[in-house]
Amino acid sequence: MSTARGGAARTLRVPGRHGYAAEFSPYLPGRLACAASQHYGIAGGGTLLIVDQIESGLRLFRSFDWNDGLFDVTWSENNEHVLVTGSGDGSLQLWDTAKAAGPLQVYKEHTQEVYSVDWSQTRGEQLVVSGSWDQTVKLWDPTVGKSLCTFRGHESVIYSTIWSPHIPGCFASASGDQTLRIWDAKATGVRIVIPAHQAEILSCDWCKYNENLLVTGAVDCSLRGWDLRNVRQPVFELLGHTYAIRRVKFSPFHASVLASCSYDFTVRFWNFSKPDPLLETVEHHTEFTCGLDLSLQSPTQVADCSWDETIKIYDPACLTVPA
Amino acid sequence: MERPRSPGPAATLADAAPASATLAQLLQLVQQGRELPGLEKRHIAATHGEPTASRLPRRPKPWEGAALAESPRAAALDPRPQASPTLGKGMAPAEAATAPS
Repeated sequence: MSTARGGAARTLRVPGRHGYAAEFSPYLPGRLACAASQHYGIAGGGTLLIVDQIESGLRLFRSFDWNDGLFDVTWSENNEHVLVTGSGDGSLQLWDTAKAAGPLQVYKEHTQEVYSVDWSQTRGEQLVVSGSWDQTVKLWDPTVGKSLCTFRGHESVIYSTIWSPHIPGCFASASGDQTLRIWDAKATGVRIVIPAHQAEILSCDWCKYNENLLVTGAVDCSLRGWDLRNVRQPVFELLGHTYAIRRVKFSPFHASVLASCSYDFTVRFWNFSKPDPLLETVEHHTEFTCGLDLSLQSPTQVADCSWDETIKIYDPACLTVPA
Repeated sequence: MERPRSPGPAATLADAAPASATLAQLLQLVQQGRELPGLEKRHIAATHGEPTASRLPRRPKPWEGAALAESPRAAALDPRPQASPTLGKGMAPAEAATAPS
């Protein structure tokens, strides 16, 4: 294998803030949003951090505080200034990066922590889906104060809710009840239930190049791929992490590449179509690594955030080597 | 919320062996129902302002060019905003795919 040199990580230290989620802006290549919490998210407030890449590294453009911890963030798909976060107090917030004071709106219906928020990617609608420890998923139009629909069925906390990038109105949810569920926003009953692990599932994501393929990441330290045309067994299983997988994301550029971060402090990159799928292990954090995102503009760039009070943007060597 | 986090997920975190003494101490304080040091109560509320107007065009996702070329369903995702989403296409795998419990 040729030796490829990835770029050194650019780091932003955020003292007293433990990162839970990171998302690149779909509009501005150099901008990253990070949802963070005080006291590891156990108590206290939260902060939404807007970070820009500049010549010399990372710069905090603006930050917004909230009354409780922030656990997830999603950018608007129709306005470069707008984002939504999910909070420990059960509410969602709508923010405007161009205004110093915030949030614009607060949406309070969930009765427990909101652990996941996602803005729809298909352009016919502007909808947000939220997943909560109250075991429900809610559908929101950010211009409307009340939820459009509540989805029940999960039998434990929900950790992740993600829109399909291809099938309008379709989203997936991952739960402490050990199932991955597929839903249609127009139907309140679940469409598919997959008992994907024998452990809590903390994250899921859709393949960007195969509308039937998803991946789950679980407390059992494994990643499993699922083809919706036949869910009786996973189509791949990726082993290597030594603690729970906290987040998994499919590459926006490569059909069979994905990235995962874990309570084992590492970020790993995988190509599930290779006989030896683990491409690289990045060990640059000293605490749980919870946030992870892959750039939509640069095929080599990755962002992550960790409970070690740092946010990092870097180009792992495995992504700089031509596939 | 004043009360500590729901016990289930916190237990998951504790089982993963918190690496820093500070986190372990915090968990212990919470489990004992004690106040955490340095906590300030905030009272942040919505401003109910209008979002700043968008001035940038939407950027296509890296997979959208490829998908349009290969998939009739994806090609139906017209670049122009639609009046209503095409949810009527439904989900082909649903009938066959509910896994046995």
